[in-house]
Amino acid sequence: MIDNIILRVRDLTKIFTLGNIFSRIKIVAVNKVSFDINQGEVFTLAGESGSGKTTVARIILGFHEPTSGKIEYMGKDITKLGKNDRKLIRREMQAIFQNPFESFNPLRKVSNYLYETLQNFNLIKGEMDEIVDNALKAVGLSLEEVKDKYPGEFSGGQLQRISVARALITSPNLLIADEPVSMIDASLRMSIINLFKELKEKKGVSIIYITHDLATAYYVSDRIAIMFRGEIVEEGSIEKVLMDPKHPYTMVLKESIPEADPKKRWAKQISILTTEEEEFLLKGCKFAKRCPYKMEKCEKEEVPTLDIDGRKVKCFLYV
Amino acid sequence: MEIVKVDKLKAYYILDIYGRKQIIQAVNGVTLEIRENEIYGIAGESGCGKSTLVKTLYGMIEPPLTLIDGNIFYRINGDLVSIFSLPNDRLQKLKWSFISYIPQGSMNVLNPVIKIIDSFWDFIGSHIEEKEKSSVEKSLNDFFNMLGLPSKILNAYPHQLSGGMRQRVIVALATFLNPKILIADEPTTALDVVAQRSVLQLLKSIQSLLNNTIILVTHDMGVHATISDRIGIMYAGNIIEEAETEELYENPLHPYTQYLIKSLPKIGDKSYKVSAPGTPPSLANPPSGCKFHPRCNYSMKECTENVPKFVEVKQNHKVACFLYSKEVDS
Repeated sequence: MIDNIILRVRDLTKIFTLGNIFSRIKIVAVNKVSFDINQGEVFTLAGESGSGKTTVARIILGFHEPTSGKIEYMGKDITKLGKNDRKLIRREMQAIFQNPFESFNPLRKVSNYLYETLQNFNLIKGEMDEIVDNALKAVGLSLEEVKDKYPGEFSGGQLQRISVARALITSPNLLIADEPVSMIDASLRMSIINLFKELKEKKGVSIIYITHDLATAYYVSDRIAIMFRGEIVEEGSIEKVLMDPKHPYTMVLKESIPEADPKKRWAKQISILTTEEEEFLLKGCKFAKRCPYKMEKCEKEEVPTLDIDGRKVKCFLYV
Repeated sequence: MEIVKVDKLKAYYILDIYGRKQIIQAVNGVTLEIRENEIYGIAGESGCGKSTLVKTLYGMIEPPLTLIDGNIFYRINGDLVSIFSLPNDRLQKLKWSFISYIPQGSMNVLNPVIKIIDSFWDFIGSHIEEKEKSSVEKSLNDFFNMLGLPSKILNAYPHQLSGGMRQRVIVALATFLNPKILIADEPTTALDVVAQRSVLQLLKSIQSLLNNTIILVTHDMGVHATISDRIGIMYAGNIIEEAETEELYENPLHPYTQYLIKSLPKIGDKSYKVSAPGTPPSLANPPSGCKFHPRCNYSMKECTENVPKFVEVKQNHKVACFLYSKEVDS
């Protein structure tokens, strides 16, 4: 099992400082996050906005430096890499971002991005067209359809598929997809999600799928971690966490998804706080203010992470 | 009884780009009846014209948006009145008191440097007299309490509130004058699921409290399933299917609706889902005949030539597709 782990994240913490020299607030965007990614699995990082899921992805990709903690890729620490080493890692680790209209310059031909990726990684001299064409074929397009076209000539779904093709050019081992379908229309969304499934099954690529949409997460992933205010509150296999959630926050989250079934409508009212900042600054459990099972110690003491029923839960309820 | 009636409405964006004229057929012959006291959902992908449709319903037709044909009626005090026959000041008075409109991204409309209550006076100033201000403020407090919102947030600045709370404040303010119709355009799109649920529950409780009609526009079929009573599916500028929510989800007729509903992933269901092939058409240059035919598996010869008429094929279930009726739209 141990050789199977390709990415190991341990106690990752990122603190952002807000304000000026007179008044400063420290926001712990990511707080002691640990998880492992196995070869050939889809791992979902789920959570609401402000839960720190994108920050985790950006640290793994090297856009931010962590305040503390370790990230090991294939047994090698990648948090403090030089420029050249970082480039080697990028070859194996590629990213796909949320808004395909923003990831492409509207005044440049789309195919330039594909060729550029090849050149950046000195992959091949010669048969460049063939490699680009193969990458595009893997996502259901072809070089002929894409050649000499500008981003404005594609739909969002096509552009996002081209982003995936671009990421595939270096034959990466790990794809990090940050909300890849939230800008894509409902009728085209599943084509991207199915593409991820195919990549995992046919090429053994590991994927970190970052999303707030638990329904697509359930469809595509093997394991999931639920983040809340910078912490992982529950982590385990997708079946266990989503079908039988243990953490009160996961329960609220699952219950709040508007299901596409008119027979299941919400019975209970829920409450939300007026401000988010209060929750970040809580000492103990960040969910304590809204939690229906709140105990006295929840707001004061640090919450342990426990192994319950084959998943990890960060909650006093199960102590 | 219907409260809004739309008759063969056509509204196009007429653009003039460096002397080259371009026409975007955003609303192309919509016929629609929205009943009193219901939540009517309008669903469709981005660029299908759903926002333009509700904009025209609200009477907000400004260039480049141009009314080409058709009519819109409101039922005011029992009579159907065409909104295009009303003088401008009369239409102005109807806004917020008879029909309210919450546009997309409206949680960002609050002025960031003044308190929410002061923004509210800006919005509502034309409807109340200066001397009524204190009694209105009291009833506003009561209204907020009734909806379960803390009334102290009226004295807060917008940045002190989360997105979900701001959106709920906007919904509450827009319904304060007890409008008969509330149009909400993607009211929960930028929100997290928990905040989204709180806004939807607020809409629902306002509707049952005030007995008004809500026109809810969103692309999210999950939201429609949870809250809408009847749903109209829009594709390329027209409504192609309309039915009561349960009927539509159980028994979608139009091939596009079938794709839309069957491709939705659900927790607890790992069966393979496919999306509709191809991409949505450009409204500047839509395909001939039925606008879905290039993406449709059942496409026949007549689909490429004629536009199917929007007809009732079952009770309360209308569809525009030649698979169910051979009637041609003139």
